[in-house]
Parts: sequence; C-alpha cells; structure tokens
Amino acid sequence: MDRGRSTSQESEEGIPLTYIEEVERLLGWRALRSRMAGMAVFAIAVMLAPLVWGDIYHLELLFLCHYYVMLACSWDLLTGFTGNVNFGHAFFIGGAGFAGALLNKHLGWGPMATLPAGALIAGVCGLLVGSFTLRLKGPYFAAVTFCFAALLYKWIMIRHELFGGEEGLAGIQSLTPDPLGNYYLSAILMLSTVIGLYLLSRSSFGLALRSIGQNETTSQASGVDTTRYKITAFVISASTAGLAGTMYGHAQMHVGPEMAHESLSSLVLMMAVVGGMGTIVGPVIGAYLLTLVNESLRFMGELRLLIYSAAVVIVILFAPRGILDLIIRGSSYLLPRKGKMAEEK
Amino acid sequence: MTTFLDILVLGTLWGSIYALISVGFTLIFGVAGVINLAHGAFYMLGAYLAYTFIGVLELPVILSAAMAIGGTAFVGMVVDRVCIKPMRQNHAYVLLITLALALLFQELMYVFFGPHGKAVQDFLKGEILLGNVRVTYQKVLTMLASWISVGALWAFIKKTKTGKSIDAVAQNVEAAVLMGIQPERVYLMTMGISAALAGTAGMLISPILEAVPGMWAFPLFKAFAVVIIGGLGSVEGAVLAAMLLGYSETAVSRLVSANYPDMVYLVAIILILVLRPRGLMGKRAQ
Repeated sequence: MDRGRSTSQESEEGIPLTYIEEVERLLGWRALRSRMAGMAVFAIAVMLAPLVWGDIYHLELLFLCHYYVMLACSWDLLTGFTGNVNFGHAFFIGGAGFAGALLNKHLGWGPMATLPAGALIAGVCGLLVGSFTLRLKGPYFAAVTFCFAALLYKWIMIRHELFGGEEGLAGIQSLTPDPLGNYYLSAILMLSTVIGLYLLSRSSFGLALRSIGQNETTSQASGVDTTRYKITAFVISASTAGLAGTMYGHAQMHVGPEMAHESLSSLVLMMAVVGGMGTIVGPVIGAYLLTLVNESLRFMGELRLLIYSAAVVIVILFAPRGILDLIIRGSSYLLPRKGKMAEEK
Repeated sequence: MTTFLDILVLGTLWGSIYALISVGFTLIFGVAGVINLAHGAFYMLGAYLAYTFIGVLELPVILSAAMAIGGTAFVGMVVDRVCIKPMRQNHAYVLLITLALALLFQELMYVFFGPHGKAVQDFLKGEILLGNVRVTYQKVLTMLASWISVGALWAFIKKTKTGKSIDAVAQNVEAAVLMGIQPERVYLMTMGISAALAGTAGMLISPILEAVPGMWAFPLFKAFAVVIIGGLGSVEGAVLAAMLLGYSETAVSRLVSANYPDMVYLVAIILILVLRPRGLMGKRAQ
C-alpha cells in the first residue's frame, strides 16, 4: 500500500489530479519538443559558460555543479520515481571513487579506463545490493542502503593501509591536463546523463517506475515485474553515481572517506528534494542552486551552514514538491492560456 | 573474569541507554507511522539543555533535569505540529523534513555553543567497585533512570486511559476515532513523549559523553538499528534488541578490537533485513 503520493488539486471535472499527472501535463510527450529545446538551451549555456567564467575558481565551481547534478539526477531515477528512499548513495560514489583511484595507482589505468570501470563496479554493486534489498519497502530499504554506505565508510577507516584512512588517497592522475578540459569532460558526462535519464524517464520504463511509485501492488497486478524494474533503475542509478564518483576523484586527484560518508548521501538527497523529486529536471535545478548558494554564502563564515540548512527546511516545508513545482505553478499563473490549453486536452 | 564483568556492566549500561533512546523512536513510528530522523536531534537538545542549566546557569540538578526534559518535549511537539502534521502520511516527506531539521539543529548548536565538546559535571560524585570494575554513580544513575523511564512509559501505555488511547491509535486509527479518540492529539502527545525520552537520554549521557554538535547521528543510527532488529513499532522488541546490541558491542570491543563495535549494528541490520525483515518481535507487514 502506498500512501506516498497525495492528490494535490482537483481538475474541473472533479477528478483528482495526482502530482505526476500534473507534471505530465507540463512535461509530457506533448511538451517534449519544447522541453528538448529547453535542454538544448541549457546544453549550449553549459558549453559557452567558460567564455564568461573562464577563471580557475569558476571552472572548478561549475565542475562541482556538474558532479552534483549527476549525483542528484541518478538518485532521482530510483527514489523520485519509485518512492524507495535511497539513503546510501555515497556507497556507490565513494566505492567507485576508491575503486578508480586504486586501479589508477596500482595498475596505472588512465581516466579513460577507470571511468567506465568505476561505473561498471558501481553497477555490479547496485545489482548485488538491489537484488536482495529492493524487496524491502520504505524505511527498511532506506535503512539497509544507509548501512551499506556506513559499512564502506568504516571499512575505509579500518583498512587505512589500503585506503589511506582519514587522509584518503592522493596523487591520482588528473582527469585531463587542465581545468578547462576537466570542465568540458564533466559537462559532456553531465549533459549526457541528464538527457539520457530524462529520456529514460519519459519512456515506458519511466512509466513503469512511476506506476510502482504510485501503487506497487496495483502495478504488480497489472503485469509489471516491479522487482525487475526497481533493480534495473537501481543499477542505472548506481552506475551513474559511480561514474560521477570516479570523475570527481580524478578531477580532485584525491579521494577521501568523506566520499562514502552519510553527509554526502543526505546532501544529494536534499538537492533532489529541493529541486523537485521524480522529474529529473528538478534535481538539476536543485544541484545547481544548492551548490551555488552554498558557495555564495561563504562570506557569512560560521553562519553559512545555519542559513543553508534553514533555507532547506523552509523550502521543504513550504514547497514540499521542490523549486521546479514552484516554477511550473508560477509560469501557469503568468501564462494562463498555455495552462488552459493543456487542461482542455 | 574481569573482562566478563566489564562486558556485563558496560553492556548493561549501553543497552539501557539504547533502550531509552529507541523506545521513543519506535513509539512514534508504531503510533503515527513517522520515521523521525530528528530523534537524535532531540537527544542532542536534551544534552545541550542540561549543559545550559547545570553548567552555565548552575541551577540545581533535579530542576535542570526536569527543565531539559520538558524543553525537549516542547520542541518535539512544535516540530510535530509545524513540520510533520501537514504531510504525515507521506513517508518520504517525513524522512526528508526530519533529516533537514536534524541538520538545522546541528548548525544551531554549532553557532550557539561552538564546535568543541561541552562536558557536564557528574550529577552524583563517587563510584562503587564491582569485583575489579569501577562503576561511577553517574553510570548507575543512568542505568536506573533509563529503566525507570522505560518502565513508566510501559505502565502509562498499558494502565492509564490516556496511555491506552495511544495504544488504540497504534492498533487501528479508524476504530480509535469511532471510540472518540482524536488521532492528531494522540500523535502530538506521542511525539512529546518520544522527544522527552530522547531528551532524558541526552541529559543523562551529557556527563559521560560530551555534548558536541554532531552528536545526534550516533543515537539515531543506534535507534534505527535497535528498532529494525527488534521490529518497527514494537516497544518490547526494542528493549530486547537494545540489550542484545549493548552486550554484543561491548563484547566485540573487549574481545576482538576497538575498531569493530560499530560494525556490529550495521551487520546486524543487514542480516535481520535479509533473513527476517519484520525483526525479532515485529508484526508481519501486510
């Protein structure tokens, strides 16, 4: 029984519109062309950004945004669509980050080999973890994903001769020789992740995931192999996170245990939630927003994290469906005709 | 022999504290279906309030303890009304808002009290010798107070009319409403009790461990573990699992290595969820 999705408003005929239908109305196939145009504008903006912010500080800040966008979107594919809260995304991020670092340091693999290897390792871990935890529901799944990440963190700390303990592993080969190269490689990976996940979420696969999120039992009764869909989504989510983790390790030329820490998992989760879960586009907004807000509050010193966490609480409290939802509502106020047309379909 | 006694004494101490922390966590889940990730933050609040009243304002211990517990219960009820009530049925939302609140409380404590640990003096000075093991009165007091609190909760739920209304809502909300019980009032009261129990644990532990801004995570993880091992929503299961966890962690730390006790609860959660997902004493989920 799923009590997760509440009905939000009633359409004119009095039939309750669920949130997903509401988003569907604005992000559906019908609107896909304009969405793809939006994606293209976003992609061009990302590609041209170094012309305006070409200094190392801004390049690295934007790289960080790309990294978090990949994490938040990949988290969203499982949790946003099926409602199974993954509290241990750091398991895949840190795990793949360290795997990539070890492959690079001990076997001398370059970034072009470790990036796919990291994604593959994370995907296999996702398959193993998912195949025996995704039959658990709600809080149980959240707890077990959390445990895997916490166990990895402990293991990194205990086997410090292998993983470097608190210091982590330094001296990993750089992703590309210069920051501009890092920027463009991460931009390409990020854009292909976002577009790929977005298209996936619009496919029949995404539809099946949504039906699981709305009511798993009904969805199962309609012939959807829910476990298989959930595991597939988890594997895709994990391997994307692994790719991002390996990329981050190479770009920083360092991996540390904080990549497997629960605070990273909760940060990713906050980004997706603040942006708007279950939409792929929302987490992109959330990741950019929180990374940039966090950075721009740096002048506040000690108060920075207080303001930041208070802002997150306020957003969740007053816009529980995230910023994207606010934008959609705001634009349907500003553009009432467009909203009407979609309703009349 | 000393090792054995050590495990027995320290295991009982930690088991009692885990029990006190986790009964509140399991109670609010069992009654309102709320996974309260801010539970650890209430524990932290109890510790910091104890520090403020005892360490800074130098009030008498009994008064300070009562005010720390009352203050935490009040904050718990405010959190329930303001943050949880609007979306109580949505598990994912409750998980997220309470996690965000826990992080907010952590930053508040950081800004008010700074990053360094704040130690509170022992409520009772002195120690007793059990064989070769020294046990401070503070630890004895903590153990006793934990058991009294858990016992009082048990008696309240099973014996008083108000307490029975909590049990009724936990069993079946619709039936409880038909009996004239207002579920929202029960949820508010349960949250208050749950927060008060967490605050009691934090207050009692403040002389043993220091109060630091990151301290909310450890009790939360332990409560989560205990509740999953014991069965979500089962108070008896939580007490049993808390004692088992207390003994096994102390045993691992004494007999194997001080590195591994934190692995115990993680491995236990995974094993339980794979082998017996409803926990030791949990009801079968539908």
